[in-house]
Amino acid sequence: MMSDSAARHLHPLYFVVLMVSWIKPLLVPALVVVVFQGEGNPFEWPPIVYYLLFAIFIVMLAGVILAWRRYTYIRESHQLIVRSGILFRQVKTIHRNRVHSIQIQQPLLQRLFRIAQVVVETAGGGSKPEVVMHAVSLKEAHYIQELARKEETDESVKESVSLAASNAGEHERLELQTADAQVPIEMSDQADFKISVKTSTFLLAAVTTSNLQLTMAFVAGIVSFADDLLGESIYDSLADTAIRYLNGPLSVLIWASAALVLSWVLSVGLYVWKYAGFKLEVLGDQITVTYGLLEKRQLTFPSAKVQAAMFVQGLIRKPFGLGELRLLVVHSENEAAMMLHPLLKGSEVEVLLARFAPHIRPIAPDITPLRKAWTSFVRWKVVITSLIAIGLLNGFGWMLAWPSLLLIPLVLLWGHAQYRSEAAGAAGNDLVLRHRRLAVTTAWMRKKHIQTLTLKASVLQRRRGLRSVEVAVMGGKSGYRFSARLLPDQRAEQISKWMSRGRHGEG
Amino acid sequence: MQRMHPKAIRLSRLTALITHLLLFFVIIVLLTLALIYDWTLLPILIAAPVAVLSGFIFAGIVPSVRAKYFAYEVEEEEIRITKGIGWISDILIPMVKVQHVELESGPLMRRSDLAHVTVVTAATKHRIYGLERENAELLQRRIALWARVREDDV
Repeated sequence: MMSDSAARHLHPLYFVVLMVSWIKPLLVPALVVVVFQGEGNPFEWPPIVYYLLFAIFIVMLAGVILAWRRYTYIRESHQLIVRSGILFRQVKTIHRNRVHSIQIQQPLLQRLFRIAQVVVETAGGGSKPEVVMHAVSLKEAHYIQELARKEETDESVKESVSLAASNAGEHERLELQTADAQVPIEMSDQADFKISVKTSTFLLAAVTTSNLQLTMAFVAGIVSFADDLLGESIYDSLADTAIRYLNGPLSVLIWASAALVLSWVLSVGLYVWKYAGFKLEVLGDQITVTYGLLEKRQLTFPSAKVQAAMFVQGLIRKPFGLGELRLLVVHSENEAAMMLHPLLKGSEVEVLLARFAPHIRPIAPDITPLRKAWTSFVRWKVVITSLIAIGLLNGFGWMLAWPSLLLIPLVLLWGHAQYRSEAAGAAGNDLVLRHRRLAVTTAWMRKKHIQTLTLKASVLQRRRGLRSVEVAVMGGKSGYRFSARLLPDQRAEQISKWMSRGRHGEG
Repeated sequence: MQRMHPKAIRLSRLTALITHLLLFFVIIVLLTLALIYDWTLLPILIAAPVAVLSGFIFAGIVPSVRAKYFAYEVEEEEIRITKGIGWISDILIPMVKVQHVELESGPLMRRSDLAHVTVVTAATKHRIYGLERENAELLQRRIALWARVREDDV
């Protein structure tokens, strides 16, 4: 390992690289001003423009010099220390066992000058790399890259290296394979266990889904394009017609119901588009999931990469004890939670997890909110809804706006349902958190997969002995959070003790 | 548990004051232009009291409240941070989950010999505010030393 405790600067050509990166975004607006605004001939510009350009150039040059002077790094045998920043200075210390990857890149400019750009990534910090060194010599880049190589020198290091390898495996991000519909994706005949969801189950899952976010985004997109597609006069006359028909509370209810039905139909269509042909198989410790109507997607991952399991029960499915089972897997796509099964009973979850993620135990939660927490679940919802109803009644009159009063018992019911759903529990090395937004999500995870645990409460809630529990685990490109709200403070602190490995812990 | 250094509270007030002075300067310039060019004064009549109230809150109340609830403890096995203003969070970070540590300081902080330490995990980032620079560097080195691979539970 090439280690050196002397502080080093970046390559002097960093000046050029940085200047180009600062000037590049200004080129297009400058071009617009010069060419399209008719400010064509630079020789005819007034002197003030030249002074301004010169002043900007001097400021940029000073900034570049300072940035170069302030950027230093030390490559030690076990860590990389990077100091940077002009006004706001930063020192980053990255231990070699936490380095996920070190890439040596040569964008065009660096290639022209025969230097390199080094990108250091760890599992932290989301999708952005931790350190980017824009200009180093090729030789220096290879010295830095050695930090990512783990060498075995003695027994204690061997042990830490093997643990690092297993932890690096945990943090390693998987690439999702996307196959064209014309290219068949073959499922292994040697699979230990296969699930192909029956068409009837899949259709039932599709019609009971409530993907409000996706539907609202779809409708918003249609509405935003409607005036472009239809033309202004047609769009205006349609809007006028709609308003003319909103002449009473009954018509408002009819329109609202029609909108709900339309969004449900869209939701079903989008679900079928995304998940048709859902198949699942296990071969050894590898899980393969395949789905998609036209664009087939296939993801294969070891079951050990599963960080958590989630059982999601939407509004329509919850009364029947049905839900969707998802696994939280560390991979490079935006979607963190992979579907394991679209529709199953709560009692079937344990059996399925035993097959696909045996290290995750679906324990039952035993900590629930006390009666005194009920008002905290309903208070602000009722207050805000009442204010909205009062505003609508004042604005549109009683005859048109009285249905808004129906929202108040609805949000009261929602708050009560949340109070009944929130729960948590910790036993052995397993944690469970249950939370309701609209759907109820029950999440199970192992202690070792929890990145941080937070107990949260407002000042008033703390005085009343209430705490919300929130955990962060890895999933997708960055973190994923689970919570259970407004639990008794002593029981919530028991979870904190369970999690603690220090003197505050259980032992 | 350790608390925020008193210098950090004073610095927080000073930063808020400077920000609001800049804001007042902009409001005065706008008022002058509005009077010269006969623009409507309505935005300024709204912005000015809001800026005064904001200054009172962020320079007067927030630094004290933040310092009241902020505390941290760093052990070999874990880091505990308590923080918040309206909502208070007690955060527990196992040392084995710390990816790396950052030390940050702005120009005013450097004049006061203060710095922040940021602890980064795979899913989150957490800041330990308002430490004396020497302590911040010591803390950063300590966390960097302890945040190496350990035997994890099964």
